[in-house]
Amino acid sequence: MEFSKSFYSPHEVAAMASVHPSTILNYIAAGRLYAVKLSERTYRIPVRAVIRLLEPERLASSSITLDPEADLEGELGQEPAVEPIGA
Amino acid sequence: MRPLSLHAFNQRRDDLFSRFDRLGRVDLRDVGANRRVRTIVADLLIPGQGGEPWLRDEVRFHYQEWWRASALGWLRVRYDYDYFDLVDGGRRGYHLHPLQSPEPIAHAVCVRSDGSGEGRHSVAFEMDLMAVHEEFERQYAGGRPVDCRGLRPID
Repeated sequence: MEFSKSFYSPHEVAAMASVHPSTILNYIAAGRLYAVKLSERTYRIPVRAVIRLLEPERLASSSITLDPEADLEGELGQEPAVEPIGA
Repeated sequence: MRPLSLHAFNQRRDDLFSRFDRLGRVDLRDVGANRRVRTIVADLLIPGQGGEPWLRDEVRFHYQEWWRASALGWLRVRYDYDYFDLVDGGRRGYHLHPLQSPEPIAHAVCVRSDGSGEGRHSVAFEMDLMAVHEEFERQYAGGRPVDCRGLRPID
């Protein structure tokens, strides 16, 4: 399956999953599928949530790193560096 | 923001990670837990499917918080919460750090796609990261360019 959009509607995801749109809305209500609620009746489902639902093995992995001994106290008083967009 | 116990701090960190991971690929670092100053750095690329050329990254959320150990628990003493539009080039941010004086000042930054607004600071209240994330998420999902209307300069 090719995922070419950043966001999908519940109807589009239902068609991709071969289920009724109400099933997708139930998934959203139950927290099984993540959607951004733009208004009372408008949901936008991020492509990551669609991939997680339909082809989870393709999902790029996130990571969490713990480094308890590093000392960053010196950073506190400094003006933050502005990183270039896209860096 | 109220001080957090060690348990509450770790719970919040894990909740943030789960929340961000729903939207894109997140790299979260928790640095300095055994020191006086602890930092949370979250870098969120959306969609974050780097290996799939038909899904290039469109926005980046970069969040950094500094927390100081105290008798009451971990106190948030500084933050930089930023939204970068990688397609059109705008930027929004909420920061808490010193500007002209040594005291940290909560403020907003906003840079339009043409670069105007760079280096300016606007009035803002102290913000909670989750509220900022929800605002940035709606900004991205709404498909609108960065808009600086309604911001009032600090100086």
